[in-house]
Amino acid sequence: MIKFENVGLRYGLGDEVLQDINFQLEPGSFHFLSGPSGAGKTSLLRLMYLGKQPTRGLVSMFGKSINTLTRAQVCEMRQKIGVVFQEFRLLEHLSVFDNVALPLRIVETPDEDVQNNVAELLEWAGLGAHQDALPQTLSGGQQQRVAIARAVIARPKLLLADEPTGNLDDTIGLRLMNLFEQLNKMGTTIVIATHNQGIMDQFAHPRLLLDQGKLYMQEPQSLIRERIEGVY
Amino acid sequence: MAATAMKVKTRYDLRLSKSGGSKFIIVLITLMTFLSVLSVSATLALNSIASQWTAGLQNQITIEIPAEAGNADVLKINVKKKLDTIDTIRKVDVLSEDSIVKLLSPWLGEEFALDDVPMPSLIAIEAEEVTPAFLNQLRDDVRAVHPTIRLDTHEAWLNDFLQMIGFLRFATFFVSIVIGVSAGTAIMGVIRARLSEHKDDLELLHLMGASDDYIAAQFQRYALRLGLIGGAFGLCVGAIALAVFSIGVNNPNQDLLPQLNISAGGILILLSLPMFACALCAFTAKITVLRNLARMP
Repeated sequence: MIKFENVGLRYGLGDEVLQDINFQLEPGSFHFLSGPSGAGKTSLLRLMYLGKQPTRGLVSMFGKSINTLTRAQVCEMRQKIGVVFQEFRLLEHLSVFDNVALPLRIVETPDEDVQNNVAELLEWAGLGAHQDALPQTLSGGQQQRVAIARAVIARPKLLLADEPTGNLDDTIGLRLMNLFEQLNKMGTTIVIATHNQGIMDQFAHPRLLLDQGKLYMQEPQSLIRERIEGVY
Repeated sequence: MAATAMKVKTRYDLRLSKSGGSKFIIVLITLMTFLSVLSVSATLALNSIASQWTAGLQNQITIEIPAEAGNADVLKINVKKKLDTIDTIRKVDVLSEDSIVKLLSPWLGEEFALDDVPMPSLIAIEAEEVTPAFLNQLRDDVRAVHPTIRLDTHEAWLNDFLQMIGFLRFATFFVSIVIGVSAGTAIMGVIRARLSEHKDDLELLHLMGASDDYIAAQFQRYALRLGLIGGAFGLCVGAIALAVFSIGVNNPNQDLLPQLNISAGGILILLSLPMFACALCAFTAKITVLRNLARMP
């Protein structure tokens, strides 16, 4: 699904914010991406959602090297990726409904399907009463749910989320994590960048740990413990 | 149902309709269409004038008997007798004094009298075909009556007139091109400003998989709408200006300028100007957006 080989990224003439990144994510996998602030989590996600080209190295997505993609192929590939941005990036002049409907409209989904799917998802996300509201009238948590709904509405093959539970209370956060779990079981590959240790502990998924621009793969503590107990 | 209709109504992913440049584009297109209406009307009027004058003077010759030639009445009779013997002349019209006064009134006024100024006598003829051989023969025939009698084939001044009309037509065409290019350039500038204003949103649409064509189509629709509004306004203002102008030109008290008549085809051309404005807006917007998006990741 995703393969990074010796990938480096720098902005302008500055130092590399990502150095020699090597990893491979299998289709249907679920990973947490963690690390201290400024470690390069957002930059790594940006490479994964094709928001940036690597300065060096090779990135392959869905079995294709991103360096050789035509502009049309980049569009097609991006349509398979759902992204929850840390700062939400909702379009302020569009209603909650239209924000969430955007990925479907981009791929020219019939209007009736748009109406049904979006309404259903917004009800599920507890935003049914706010369909016609503008994002700036919603709380941070509500805006985050809109951003998440927008990322998952088109059933992406890869879901990338940058601190998706950052503004949510524990109950809603847990509910959304369960949604991600559900999507993952349906085959969606998921990468969630988070600082939330509780969530990472509660959901036993492998971690990509970024520290000073370098990436380390980490098995979850529970799995390590299970393996140790299995050996002894 | 009403809520559904409202959702379907949302046309733009980007906040284009509320952008500050929208009014500017409408005013610009109004002005452009207005000037185009004037310019095209001028061209149509010039075409009409040219055809009226050329049609009116085709195969027409005026024979001029100078005042100093002597007894004008006798000379007129002699010339007419001569002309009546030529088969290829369809019509001979010896102009009366009243007709000459009427002809000259636009330049000399209604009140002048022929006695005040020594005026030549005029005989208008219409031939089947005016060829050089016919003209030479005719010239010899009338000079046989009196050597000072002249032929005026209108050719020299008609050529000058047609040349002037041609130049004016070129000038109006050139002005139309300048108007179109200026409007196109201004629209390009406004669209670039909109692109810059919505850079983050454009990036977001790209990241969600929107193609350049999808985004360009939104700008195209936006520009088309503004073009239609501006074009309709421009056409209305132009029509009012033409109506006022035609009242002045079609005044029965003036004879110098021909009547301003625009044919049905001409009216169709004028009515199509807002469509041209729309097409210009949409095309310029699309090209500008596609060029700029191609530079984005």
